[in-house]
Amino acid sequence: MRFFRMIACVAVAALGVGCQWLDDRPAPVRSASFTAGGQSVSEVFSPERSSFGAATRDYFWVKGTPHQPIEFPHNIHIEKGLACTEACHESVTRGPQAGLPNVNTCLTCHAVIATDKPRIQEITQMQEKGLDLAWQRVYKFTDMAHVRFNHEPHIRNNVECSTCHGDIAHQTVAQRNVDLNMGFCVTCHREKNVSNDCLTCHY
Amino acid sequence: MAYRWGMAVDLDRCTGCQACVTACRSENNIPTAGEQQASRGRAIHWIRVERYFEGEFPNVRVKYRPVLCQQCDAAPCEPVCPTYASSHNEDGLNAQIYNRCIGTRYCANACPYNTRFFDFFNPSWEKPLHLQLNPDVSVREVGVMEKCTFCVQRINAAKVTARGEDRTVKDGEIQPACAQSCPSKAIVFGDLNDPDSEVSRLAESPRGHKLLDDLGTRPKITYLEGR
Amino acid sequence: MSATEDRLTNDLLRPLFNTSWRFYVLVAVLSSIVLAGLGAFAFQMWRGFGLTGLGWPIYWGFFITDFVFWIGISHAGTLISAILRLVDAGWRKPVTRCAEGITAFALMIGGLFPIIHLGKPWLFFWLVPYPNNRLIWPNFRSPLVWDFFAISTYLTGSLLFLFLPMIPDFALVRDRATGLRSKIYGVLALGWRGTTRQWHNLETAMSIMAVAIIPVAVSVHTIVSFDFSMAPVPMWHSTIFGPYFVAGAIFSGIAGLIIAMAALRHFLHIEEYLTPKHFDNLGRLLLLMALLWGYFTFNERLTVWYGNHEAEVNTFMVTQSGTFSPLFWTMVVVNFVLPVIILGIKRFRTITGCVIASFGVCIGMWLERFLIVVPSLGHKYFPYSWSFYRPRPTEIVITAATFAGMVLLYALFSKFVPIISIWELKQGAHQPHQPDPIEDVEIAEAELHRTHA
Repeated sequence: MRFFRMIACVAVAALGVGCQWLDDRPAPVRSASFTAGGQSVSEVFSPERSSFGAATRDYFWVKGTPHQPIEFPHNIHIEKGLACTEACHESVTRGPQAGLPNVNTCLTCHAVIATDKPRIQEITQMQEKGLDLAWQRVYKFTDMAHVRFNHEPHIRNNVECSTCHGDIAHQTVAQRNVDLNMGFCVTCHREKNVSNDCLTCHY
Repeated sequence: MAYRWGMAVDLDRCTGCQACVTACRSENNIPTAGEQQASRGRAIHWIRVERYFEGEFPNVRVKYRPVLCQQCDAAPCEPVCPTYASSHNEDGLNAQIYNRCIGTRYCANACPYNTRFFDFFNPSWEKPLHLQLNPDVSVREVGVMEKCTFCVQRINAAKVTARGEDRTVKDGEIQPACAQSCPSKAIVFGDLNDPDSEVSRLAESPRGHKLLDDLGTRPKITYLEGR
Repeated sequence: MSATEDRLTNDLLRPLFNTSWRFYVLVAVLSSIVLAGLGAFAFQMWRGFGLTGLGWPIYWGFFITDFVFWIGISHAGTLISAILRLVDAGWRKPVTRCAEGITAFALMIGGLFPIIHLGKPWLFFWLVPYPNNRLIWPNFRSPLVWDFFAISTYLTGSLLFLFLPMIPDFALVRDRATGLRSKIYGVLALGWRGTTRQWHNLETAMSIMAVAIIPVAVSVHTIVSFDFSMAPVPMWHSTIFGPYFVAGAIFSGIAGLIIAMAALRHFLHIEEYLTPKHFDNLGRLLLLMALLWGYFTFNERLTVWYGNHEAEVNTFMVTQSGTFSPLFWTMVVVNFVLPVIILGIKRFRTITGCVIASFGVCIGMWLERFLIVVPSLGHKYFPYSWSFYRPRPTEIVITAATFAGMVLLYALFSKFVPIISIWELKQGAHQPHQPDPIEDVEIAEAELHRTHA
């Protein structure tokens, strides 16, 4: 038994030394780190996953739950007759990104409406301090999926928001209602008889 | 009417200045390999300027030939790919779909022009250089093949705009980074299905020839060269 | 059970019941090499493929060479076993299981390489056609997909072909062993009782498998050759590659078999069952294949040289007299000159002679695959993109690990399974002595000499 343990130790040691010897990759250049706005950032940008766990999560499409800065009630706004594309997601008709509202957008209406609500007061304070809302993405593809989605042609061809985003009109905080996997996209593209080319979305 | 994107390269105009190579790198987020890795053949150039010498010293004539993916109609890279990562698209482009690629590198072996490149490592950019990356182009990770796309991000954007305005893409509306940056206007890009486009006119030129025409790959790039 | 049969059973089951310390040392050493290989593979996945020596434009190197080599070695089992079974050659009986074992293990190892060499090995299952929500299938035009089907078919077939004739022997071990071992072999024996019906079913199954496996084996290496001949690369794009690869595969397979048999004979002390006659017969087969291989190589290269296509001749010259020429001429010597001399002269066709020739052939056939893969990729059409290839430690460690893995699997195999088919030997003992053609010729020759003297 001791013999085996010895062999195992030697093997592990050899593996360690071997890994050093095998490693051929140029070390990332270290220099004085550039920090924007006092944030500490990693010095090198790379599509590499930060850890084995992150890679595994990506592989199995496990996505974290987003935590929004404030609990935005979609349902109330829709009930009051506000359209999605009207003020908040206004660039949705013009390009790839739908756009997210900042505090100023909120306060165009909320300077006068419902100013007694705690959430609105929170926003007002944020504006006074010069802060903004750090919205978190709800729908997102992994980097490895290499997907490029453009809202504009979909809106132009009258695809309902709810087709891809679910019944968000009756929800408060935005949730991932629909699993936007590739099967979802191609099935619809087939039904609508539009391009099913790989290069339409992946490049 | 479907498009059929093509290119004409006038070798008599080419000065070998490498502006196209640089433009391509910055447009398409091509990583820099570094000295050691480049010596091992890990440098990636979607377009390269090949330099050849003709004649004996001192009567030497130097010739430059920019070589990029020839976007062949009968591309040898396509049938060999086991996953359709390398496939033909409606506009006649040779698509390289990174997320479908599993890295057999068979396509690169089959390509007679050697214009396909493999990502041997995850690329990295020292911050803040990552801010110069083109947001319209993927950053390719380790283990996939990549190659010239004819700047498909510009093609797709122009097509979306054109369809929004209910028209087809005009000749000269799309310029890949290499054509845009060429100071001597040696590279012309356009729709080969449009008989009035400049590239169609040049493709018919008696000065034109295709690279390795005898292999039957039917490239969509015409090289123009006076004899 | 007669006394001879008893001794036979005892002799052949001895390795299963007695194990010396040397075996443990062997297993430990081999396992550590295999572990090192696994470590290197894991490290390669983690850091990226750049740990290998590959680069633009030589994207295939050691791994593909190893792949073709191991699939080639796997052709030992099919030829020896299936063909000799079909023609009912009496001398095959002690040889078949050694050969079939090589097939199964070499295929398992060879089949790993297409996965090891992937840029993203964790997505290898995209070669499998399965219904998915993306509505995409594998590309059935790709030789790599054909490879997947060919290798999985061949592996399934050869595992069955290996397992079927082991059933009666498993039953034998079951009856002799006690405790857990008896239970395990009992499961493996699939309820074998030795009834007439069971014997009949086994014989039928064996003859079906023997007929079925030969076309599979031939097609497998033809399809492996298609990996090359379907691409417009100088000196790959050749119609001769199908038969050339099959001949080379059988050639290296027989060489691998001879080495394995010599090792078993030496270490398991079964000299009585694997006799010089077996080596003599296999040596003759190897000689035949050496001549065939020489003919194919000459053919392949002559047409390239005579055809005089610019890019092809560049590749031709670089192997013939350029940087790859030392490897090329080594290959010619160890694959053709040496086997023909050693095996062509009867005095040298001893066990030692056969083993020396076989080692040469194994090295030579590995070099042959290397010389097919690398020089062509390094010398494609534009001189601008000519390049060279030098392997790096990762590839060397993984390659070494597969050789160690093969020996390890084979050693374990010989420990858990009677390496010589006991029931087939006994069956031979029951039958009235059938005149063996080779033996007869030898006796006749000896008598001739005597009368002349």
